[in-house]
Amino acid sequence: MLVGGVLTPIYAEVRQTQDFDCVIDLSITDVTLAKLQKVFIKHKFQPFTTWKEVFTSGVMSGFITILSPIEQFKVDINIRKESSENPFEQLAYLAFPRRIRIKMREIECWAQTKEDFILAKLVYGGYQDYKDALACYIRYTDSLDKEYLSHNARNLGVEEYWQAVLAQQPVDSVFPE
Amino acid sequence: MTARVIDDLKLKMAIANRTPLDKLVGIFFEMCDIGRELYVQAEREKFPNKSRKEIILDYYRMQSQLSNRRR
Repeated sequence: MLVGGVLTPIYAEVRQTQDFDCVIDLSITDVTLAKLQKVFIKHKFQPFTTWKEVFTSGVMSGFITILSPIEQFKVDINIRKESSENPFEQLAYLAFPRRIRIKMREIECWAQTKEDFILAKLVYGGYQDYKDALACYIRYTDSLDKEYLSHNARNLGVEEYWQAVLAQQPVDSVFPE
Repeated sequence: MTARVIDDLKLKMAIANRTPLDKLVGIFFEMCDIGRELYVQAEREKFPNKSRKEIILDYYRMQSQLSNRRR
């Protein structure tokens, strides 16, 4: 499932991004990891250092970083966990079953919903993230599930930022220099 | 100023909503590619012996130091 900056042309303001983030649902065993590595190699993805490192330290932390084949974009892959105290992992757990089908350059892929895009941006909590969340809110005000957003913003500890989005406070007033 | 910033964002989003999604996606990929190619070109002029992959890996190392956050 695609998440974050790569979805800005669809959900927010078109802007550059330095990496592509995604979440995968994978029960970690020697067999599944070997299959995953085969898929990466088959599609000419590259490791930052070695595949061995990707599949030891990376998998242990639930976070794999690889490079795309031609353009060599960084691809960050989060492995979804069932339960976690970590809000980033909670986000992946929450968003995954709600994922939707989108088309990017004629390729069908799974993506987080716009509500989960906003929640994720509020949890990341940076200047650009807030800007993306606000842009998404303005772009899709009428069709957003605001009840879901309010409920989960509270659970994820980002209610203050969500209230700022609802009040359409500009980024500079939420993140003063 | 505050009102102007929000008005500007509202206008941009209204335009985005009137633009076909495949066009927006195309602009997005073009922006990413152009930015990356300009960076690689500039680094190649400074370090002609560096491979593209080395330039990109160094870039991501620098980026990770700057942002120092996990996504």
